[in-house]
Amino acid sequence: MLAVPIIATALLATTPPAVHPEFVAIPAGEIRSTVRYEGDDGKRRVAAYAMSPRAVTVREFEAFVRAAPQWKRDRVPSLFADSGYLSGWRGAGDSGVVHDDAPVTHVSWFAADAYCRSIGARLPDWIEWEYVAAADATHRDARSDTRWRARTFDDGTPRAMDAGAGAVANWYGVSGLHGVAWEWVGDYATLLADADKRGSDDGDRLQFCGATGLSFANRDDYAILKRVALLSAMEPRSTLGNLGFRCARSSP
Amino acid sequence: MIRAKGNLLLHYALMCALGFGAPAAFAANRNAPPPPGDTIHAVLTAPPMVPPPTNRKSPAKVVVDLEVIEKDMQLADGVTYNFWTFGGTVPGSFIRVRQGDTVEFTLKNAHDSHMPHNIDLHAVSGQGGGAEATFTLPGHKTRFTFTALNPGLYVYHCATPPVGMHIANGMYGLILVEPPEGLPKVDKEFYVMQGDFYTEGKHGEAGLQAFSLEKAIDEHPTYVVFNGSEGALTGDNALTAKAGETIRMYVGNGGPNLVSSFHVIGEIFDKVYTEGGSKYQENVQTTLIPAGGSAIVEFKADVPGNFVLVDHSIFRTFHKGTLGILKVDGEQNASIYSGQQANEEYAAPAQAGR
Amino acid sequence: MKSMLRTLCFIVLLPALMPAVAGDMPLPGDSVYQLDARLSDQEGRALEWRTLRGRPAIVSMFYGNCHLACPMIVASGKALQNRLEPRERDAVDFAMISIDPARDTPAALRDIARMHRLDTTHWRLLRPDDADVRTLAATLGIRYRAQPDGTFNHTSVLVLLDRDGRILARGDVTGLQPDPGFVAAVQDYLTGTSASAPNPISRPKESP
Repeated sequence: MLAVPIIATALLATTPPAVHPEFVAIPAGEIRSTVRYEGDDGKRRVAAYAMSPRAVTVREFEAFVRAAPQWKRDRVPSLFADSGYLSGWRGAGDSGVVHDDAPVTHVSWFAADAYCRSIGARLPDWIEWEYVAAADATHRDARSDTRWRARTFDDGTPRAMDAGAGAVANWYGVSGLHGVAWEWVGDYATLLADADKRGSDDGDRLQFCGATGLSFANRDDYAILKRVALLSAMEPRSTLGNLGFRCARSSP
Repeated sequence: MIRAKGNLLLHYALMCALGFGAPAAFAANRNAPPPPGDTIHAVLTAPPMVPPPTNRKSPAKVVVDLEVIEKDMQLADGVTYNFWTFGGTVPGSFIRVRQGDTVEFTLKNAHDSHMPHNIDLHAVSGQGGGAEATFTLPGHKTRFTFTALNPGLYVYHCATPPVGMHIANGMYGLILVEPPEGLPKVDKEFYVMQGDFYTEGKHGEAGLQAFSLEKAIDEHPTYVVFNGSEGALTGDNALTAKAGETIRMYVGNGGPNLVSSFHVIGEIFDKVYTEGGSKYQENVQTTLIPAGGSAIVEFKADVPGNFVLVDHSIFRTFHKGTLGILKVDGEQNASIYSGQQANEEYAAPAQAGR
Repeated sequence: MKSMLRTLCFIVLLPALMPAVAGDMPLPGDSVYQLDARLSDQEGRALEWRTLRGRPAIVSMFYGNCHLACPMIVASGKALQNRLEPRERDAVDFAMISIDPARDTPAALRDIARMHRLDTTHWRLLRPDDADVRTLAATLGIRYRAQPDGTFNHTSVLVLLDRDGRILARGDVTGLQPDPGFVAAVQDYLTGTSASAPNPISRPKESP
């Protein structure tokens, strides 16, 4: 009788999911980002933060949707997820997946954001992701190693270097960044580009706002080019079979 | 302005805080009415086949549906490669329309593709040749419409960054825009497209080969082939014709890097529509096909034999695979070509000091 | 007894006093109001994003320290208002949402409203909680990027929302005049809508 306003989709789950890993402390530092904006040398300071050592798994996401059923496939509003959301799961709250410690995919940015909030975390920023992903097992920044860089060309494919279960953690103690699935970042929307990126004076320059075109410091870094091309094309409700995510936390 | 009911859009006009003009990014001809007549669904063919002539006297609305599929296929004997394709083949499906046609083009990107793709058709006059309108995520499809203003044989290719890699992985094909009166009738038409491939492993190294960016930048291909693989036009896959037939080949060069010196051993091109344009040269032995360009060659298969399609930069033919066969059957015609008539010894020259 | 009756009457009549649609029916699946977000207006009053439901709205995002694009968005919005018939003008509300809540305090927003001479019965300047800026922008399809110097690059667009929060049209802001196609979309929607709900801005706030 009392017309209480419908509670909008809550972004905080009422109970946290069953399991999630101990986040790894990532020390502050500097990185020369491959992505740079006009009049900028690409150098970025990255403040200390904490990152999940691996991507969010199917099992973890399953626990999340059970605790927050408004994120189940049959209930999630079209604003927050497209028709591919959790497609391939046996049921709305049941993945039916045998190897459920694989990264969860077919999740939208809104869903990833909601999951991270539910565990008191957030999505990493692009620069935080790039910073950690520049490392291999023994070097903090492995990007000058052309052989290692060539292997990153398989990111997002079944042949990715971190595809197997035995993927080795990198210098920071984080693993799976160059895996079968791409990963959402919180500020993917800042990687803005025109759909056709060949225009303007520089063939590599992505158009954003005329004055501050996004360009690539290292044209050989095809893995980053591909990743940026993909992320910049995404809508926040879009899902892909090879796009998952992991969470991060700001350090106090 | 784009009106949307309910769903968020993919394109936005941008303006920076300093007030620079926004790059408008809208497909041309959004509101152009289709010409009178039926809507035709374009027949697309896999290489080396070519769709039949349009046989039309007036422009029409033509619907083209093309799907991007990433798949592992054979590059050479024992060698496989992860190709990115238009329509499942390298080169991609052949598209045939007529000058003046209104083409409604839909590009699909297969659900299991690992990346977005788009298409730039050189036949399109408009932003990016259609690339800005067709940036397509896996599991999505995009659509735009263009009018085929100019006749000619045009390359199409993917233009998603890194563009070189997309082209190097096989994302190219040909679209023919017939002139209003059509092309003169010939007995056989073939679709041939050259491309260079760059693999980490050496030429002939077995197994699934990875793309080598270093070799691509240095322009040192491992394989240079017709129609996506070394055996595409040889053996059982050889092109066939009968002696006396007139033949037209639509020949493209997807690159990404190399220019082709296209020649058919044992034949002379009666006509070459240089660079796929409207004027032809006659009596040509070898014609240059630019990367990202084409040529139409016509000749009559006067006599039977195995006529070898090559890139006359000859080391790549014999060491990297730019070789195809046109097998012509039929009656010998000794007046045109006799075959060997004599094989004898001849006296050695007189020795000095005898 | 009398006061209890009065309270009872109030409780019974309360739904009738609220905007006709809000809370009665579930939100459509594509309504932007499904997002849980908290904002405050230029008077510092807190509100939930979903309470905008009930009346057509034209929304955009801006920031106070912005000297060309954002004034253009406001000017474009005001020019659009002037194109509307008086009844249409009264039926739609404008909301400009800050992407820089740290700097755009209620006082700063009041200054901006004053500077642009905004009619506050139809215009609201809203400041989201820090954690809600990005998700709000995502639902509206607006992108922004902070620059090192404190300015932002951002999509300059006016978004037409129907009474239930579905996006009906977007008008790119490229100058002082609104996009004619967008104006037409606004007019179409407003003439098509029958009785509009009363303007909640000018009414005193009800407690839910």
